[in-house]
Amino acid sequence: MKLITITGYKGGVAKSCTAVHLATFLSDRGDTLLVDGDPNRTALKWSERGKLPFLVADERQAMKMVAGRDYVVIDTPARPHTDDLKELAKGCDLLILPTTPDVISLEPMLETARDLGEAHYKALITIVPPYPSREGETMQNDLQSNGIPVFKSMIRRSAGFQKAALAGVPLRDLPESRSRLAWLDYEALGKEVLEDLGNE
Amino acid sequence: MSDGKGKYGDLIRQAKQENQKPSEPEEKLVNLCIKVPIGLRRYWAAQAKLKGITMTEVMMAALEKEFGIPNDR
Ligand SMILES: Nc1ncnc2c1ncn2[C@@H]1O[C@H](COP(=O)(O)OP(=O)(O)OP(=O)(O)O)[C@@H](O)[C@H]1O
Ligand SMILES: [Mg+2]
Repeated sequence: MKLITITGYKGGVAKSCTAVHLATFLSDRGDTLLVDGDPNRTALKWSERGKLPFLVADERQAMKMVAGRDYVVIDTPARPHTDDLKELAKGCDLLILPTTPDVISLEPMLETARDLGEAHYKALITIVPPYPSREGETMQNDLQSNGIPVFKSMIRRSAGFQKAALAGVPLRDLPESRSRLAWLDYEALGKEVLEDLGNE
Repeated sequence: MSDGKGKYGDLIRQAKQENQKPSEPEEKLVNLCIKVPIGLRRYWAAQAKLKGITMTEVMMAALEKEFGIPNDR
């Protein structure tokens, strides 16, 4: 079993979106459970509106459901409780820290990384504006030069995510192919995550 | 960071516990005998063979369905 947590100190940076799409990727490779640890229950509501290809449970229901899964993905609220973060840092195989590519997101990211200490974490740049903007690459360089490990894959900005959330499905399962393009980014991320977990 | 108790500790322990199960020493296996008419046994044995399952599996499934399994396993 591999435990992966999506967390960070900033709100609205696609944590829940990343949890849903990474779980979608992993559900093709093994039995996957998404634990929605956010009191807003973003992921649970997403699944209730439609159909996700994996089970979603809150952290209490999940107690009875974790047994024997291949992958458990945990979504957290922005600024999780210190005790929660500590347990997650200690117990998870990988922590993914989504961040948007702007200067105000750098400081919370550095702060999260500091608090995670020795844990295995990696930053993910999300909601990246399209070319000719270079904000994604700039953020990647900024993070690297601050010693933060960062995924090569970045998640492009796409209106599809909003549609997918409304439809209660992963972006991958939207009917119009144009909306599905950003799914490729999460597929690339998924492959990187598997490599990362394999190299432990 | 403080030393309090968060809401994920038990969940993670639960997940990890399951992880280690295969490496634990096997529990001792014992016989569970029931007497049935010989004709029935012959018929059931043949049917099990045909279906590619064992009578043991069928009986265990029936017992589990009726009584469940204890919480600690
Ligand atoms: N790649 C993307 N492109 C465009 N919009 C996105 C993208 N990813 C997420 N969004 C949108 O951004 C908003 C925030 O996303 P999400 O809820 O996943 O963030 P979050 O970090 O979990 O937020 P919170 O801190 O409130 O839990 C949502 O409206 C979502 O549809
Ligand atoms: Mg969220």
